[in-house]
This record gives sequence, C-alpha cells and structure tokens, in this order.
Amino acid sequence: MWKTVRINSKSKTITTEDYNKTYVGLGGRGLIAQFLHDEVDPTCDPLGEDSKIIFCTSLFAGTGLVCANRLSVGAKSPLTGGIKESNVGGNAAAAFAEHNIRSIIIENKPENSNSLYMLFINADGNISLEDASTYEGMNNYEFVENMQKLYGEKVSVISIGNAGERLYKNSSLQVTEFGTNYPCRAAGRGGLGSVLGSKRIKGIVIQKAKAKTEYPYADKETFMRLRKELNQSVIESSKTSPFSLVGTASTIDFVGPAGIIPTHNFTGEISDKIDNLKSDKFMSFVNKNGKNQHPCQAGCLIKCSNIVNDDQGNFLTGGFEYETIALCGPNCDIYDYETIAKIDRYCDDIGLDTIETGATIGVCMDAGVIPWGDTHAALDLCKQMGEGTDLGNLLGQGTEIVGKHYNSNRIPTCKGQAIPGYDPRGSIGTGFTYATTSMGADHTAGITLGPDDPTDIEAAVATSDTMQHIFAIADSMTCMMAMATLGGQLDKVALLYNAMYDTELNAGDLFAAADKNLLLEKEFNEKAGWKPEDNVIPEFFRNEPLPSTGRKFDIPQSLLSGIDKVQ
Amino acid sequence: MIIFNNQEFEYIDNVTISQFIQIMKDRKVLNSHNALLITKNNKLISPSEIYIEKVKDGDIINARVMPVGG
Ligand code: SF4
Repeated sequence: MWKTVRINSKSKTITTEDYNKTYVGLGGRGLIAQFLHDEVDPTCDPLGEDSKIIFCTSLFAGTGLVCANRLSVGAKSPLTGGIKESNVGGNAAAAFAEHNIRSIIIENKPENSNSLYMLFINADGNISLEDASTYEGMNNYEFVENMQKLYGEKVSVISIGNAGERLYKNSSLQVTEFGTNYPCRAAGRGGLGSVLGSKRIKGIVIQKAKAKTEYPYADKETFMRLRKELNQSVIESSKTSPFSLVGTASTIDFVGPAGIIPTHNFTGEISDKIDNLKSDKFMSFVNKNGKNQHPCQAGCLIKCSNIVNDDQGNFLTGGFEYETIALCGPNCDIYDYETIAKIDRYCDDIGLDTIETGATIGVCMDAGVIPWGDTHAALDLCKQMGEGTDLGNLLGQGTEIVGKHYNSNRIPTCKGQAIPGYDPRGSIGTGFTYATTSMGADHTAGITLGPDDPTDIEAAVATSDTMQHIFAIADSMTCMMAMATLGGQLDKVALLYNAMYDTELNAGDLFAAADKNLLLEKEFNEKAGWKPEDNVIPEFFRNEPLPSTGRKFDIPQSLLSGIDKVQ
Repeated sequence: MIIFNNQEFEYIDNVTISQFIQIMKDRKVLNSHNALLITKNNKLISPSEIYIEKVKDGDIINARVMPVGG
C-alpha cells in the first residue's frame, strides 16, 4: 500500500503514515489539491511555519504506463499567493514509487535558520534527515555530483540551488533526469524552491530500492492488458509527432511565423531571425554534439527531450524546451541557440524558472537595464541572481516585482507569474486560461493553441474550459505529451484506473474528478484572498494589437471575472 | 447526411461520436492517432462525452488535434 511520509522540519521528526482511505485513488495534482485544502491555511505565509511543501507521485507511477513517472510538487506559492502545483519528469517519481511512497509532506520551519538538512531515503527504505550544512550555497549540479559520490551513481535527487536557499520568488526545484542523471528537469513554476528553502531543506536524495515493489493492483491482468494497448497507441502516434521527432522546440515552426511566440517583451514584432530557431536549426544545434529523442523518465515512449553538449562534448543542458527558448530567446531579442542553452544551464544550476527568468530579462531590456539582444549582459543577469548581488536579489523576485521596480507599463504577468510562450492575443483561449486558472499564467493549466485554435470568443472560452479539465487529468497521471494521445481514450483510461484502484469509474467520472480538483484549487485561492476581478490580462495586451494579426486581446473582462458566462 | 471535417458522409444510425470517429479512422478519412477535440454543430463536446453523445442526421462534426504545447 502507498505511504505518506511526513517530515517536521522544526522537530526533525519523520513519520510514515498509512494512506487516509479517502485519498486512495488520488495522485499528482489532485492529491496535492486535496492535501493543501485539508491541511494548509490558505492565508498562511508561504515561507512561514504554517506552510507545507508536498511531493506526490502521479496515479500510475512505477506501473509502466507511458510517461507516468511524474512528480507533482505543491504548496502555497510565494509568487502568486495562491495554490501551486508544478510537475516534473526525471527519475524521482519512479524512485519514490519503488519505495511505495506516494507523498512526502514537509511542514513547519526550523528555529535555527543556520541549519541545513537533506532528506535521505536509502535502499532499504529507511528515511533520515542528514546534516547538509556542507552544501549550503552550492548549486544543483555540484550538489548532485556530491550526492552521487556519497550515495552512488544511480541516486535520484530533488534539490534547490542558491535561488531556493535565498528564498527567491523565482526559484525552482530541480530533479535528476533519467539516463543522464543531471539535474536538468525542473518543477519550475510558482517559486516552490523557496518554500523548500524556507524549511531549510536542501533536497531529497533517494537510492534505488533493494526490494522489488509489488503495487496494489485491483486486477493486475486487466491493468497489464490495458497498459499495453494504451502504450502501443502512444508509440503509434509518436511516429509522426513533431514533439517526438524534434522536441517541443518544433512549436516554433508554427508560432514563430504566426507571431504568437513572445518577442521583444511581448510586443509580438516578428524578426527574420526567427528562422535561426526553427526545427531544422534546432536539430543541427542539438545533434552537433548531443542528441534529441531522449526520454526524461523511465517508461517514456515519446522522448520529447534532448541532450545538449558543448563544443568539447561535455554535457551542457538537457530538457531544452520550447518555453525556455521562447522566453529567454526571442522575448529578449536573442536568436542563437548557444546562448539560450547557456541561460538554460545557468537557470537549472542556480534553480530558477526559465520562463520567469526570460520574462524578467525581457522587462529589464525594455527598461534599459541592459541592451536588447545582448547575450553577454543577459547571461550576466543570470549570474548576478546566482551570486546574490543587489540587482540579482531583485531579479530573483520575479517579473512582476522587477517590472514595478522599473515602473514598466508592460509587465507580462497574471497573478504575479510570468506569461509563458504564447502571446494571449495570438491564442485568446490560452489567454483566458492565463487569467482564470488557479495557477497564475501557466500554459500547462490549459492551452488552446494550434492551427484550429478558436478565434471566436465563445469557442475560445469553451476550449479553455475543456483544456483546463484535460490538463488537470494529465497533471495527476502522465506528462502532457502522453495526454495528446491518451486524452482521446478516456474510456480506456478509466478502465485502467479501475483495474488499479478497484473502482467503477467511466470517462465522465474522470472529468468530474478533474472538476473537483479545479474547484478545490479555486476554493483555496478564494480563501487566500483572490478575487474574481483579479482575473485580468495585462492592459497592454488589450491596447496594443498583435502585429501579425492586428488583433488585441478582446475577451470581455466580465467573462474573465465570471460575471458573465458563455452559453 | 453527416458533414465531417467538410466532407459529406451517409448518416449511420445509432452511433456515438466516439464510434463515428472510429469509423472515420477505419475508412482512412481520418489518419491520426492523436487525441481529438470534437465540435458538433459548432459546440465543443467534452472528450468524456463523446462516448455518450449520439450522432444525429444532419450533424456537422469537426475534429481537431488536442493541443498540448511545449
Ligand atoms: S514525452 Fe517528454 S516530458 Fe514526457 S516523459 Fe517523455 S521526455 Fe519526459
């Protein structure tokens, strides 16, 4: 049976609890929402003693379902002031599953802020808090290297770098990747690294379990048959998927010429240089010294990830994704892969969200802090965040605080979080999601993008609503790439769920569970003080037309606030 | 008559949208393993409702690939 491990960071006690029966059948984002709803005061200080940071594996972690070894991290976000769930691939969720751990809850706050600990789960499943003061101020790559020396090459690590230790609102948690074992996978959004930092926990280190794990299937035979069918369907769709053949960077081929990619701090001006970033250029760049089609976790059959090596053939970065490229590239007038990959590496090492970082640098360029497109200056800003200079400490607080500091009238955020790689004027349904989701501006909460993205307001809102539900299902189950196939087989997914959890759900029940998930999150945020009138898209998107289409963001505020509804 | 992605097809009695999509795949009208977002008469049908909602004579059905993004 799955376990919950509870760590009190003040008393240093560790307890292992059997699962609360009402939580059985919850995983990932759904379980995070339930825990936070039940255990955390929404009005608490995200970095205070009443906050908790929670790690939950997805519903089918460890079972061999495609892309199911996903780890959700959740807490009240210091960046948005609302509930946050950020999920990540890599090898940690599979390692937890091997130890039958579904969730880890870290609560309270140590009195002595000079202490630093790490959580260690050894091969026998024993859990301990170890002194980590030697690693204070160490960034993620070096920390992981140390952990590998100490506990073995195959160890899985979740950690924070200097950004998390310094309690930056823009701080990620990094997770080691399957295969390379470098900390290049990020639970990036919402500043959750700082929540772990506030507990004075450097990371979680997990050794592979010695004992073979037997998962509590209700009907193993049926589960295995359905798993095979679903996995096979993903293999088939991957054969022609650009995410599989190229990676998420393939998105640029569509959003670049369409002017939906953020450029020049979200002005949307299209530069000819966008051609430097198209799929063919991406493939030559990645495959020059590294490779694409890399699986970030065991059991991935899509392989949208990649390994980027430097000219000497040394690992530079991995999981080099569209969002990072868009925000740290064209949004800052930077159109060369080499620089963007270096920024990605800095961010992963220091523990910064690349979306927030790219948006912050764009705002700095707009404010004249550094020149547009200056690659050296952009890298220097990242460095300063890592070193904690005065400017670095300001930038680490995220795009909104930086924009306000420089009196910018073009701050691309919703609920304090930077808008990701799709201009809301070019995908109004996605803009509706940014403004209305409980997650702050977040494409993984439900994008509507694509060649058939509705331009009609009613259809865009309806599509956003449906996609917010689909993404809620995905966030409890697999990565989104797998959902691009599994989302069309929810009847079979429900049967798979039944074979695991001894239930009798159908596709409609999965949607109902997603609905409950979204409502729990909304309720948390309402209690935290969010108001419907806070559901806004920054004014400049309403005033300035997108150059490629001439369209402004024109979904009425009354629809964003929920005063009016579409039929 | 059913119009599917701008092509006309003979009406088939008593099939759900999910079954209709499968028929379109079997006939190679639709060549995609991806999850789809379906609209019927301009109204989005939730991916969980396609197993219940029936196709009616005269329906206009459109399918687009479910967006997932980077
Ligand atoms: S498809 Fe991509 S994000 Fe999903 S598990 Fe595979 S490599 Fe990771």
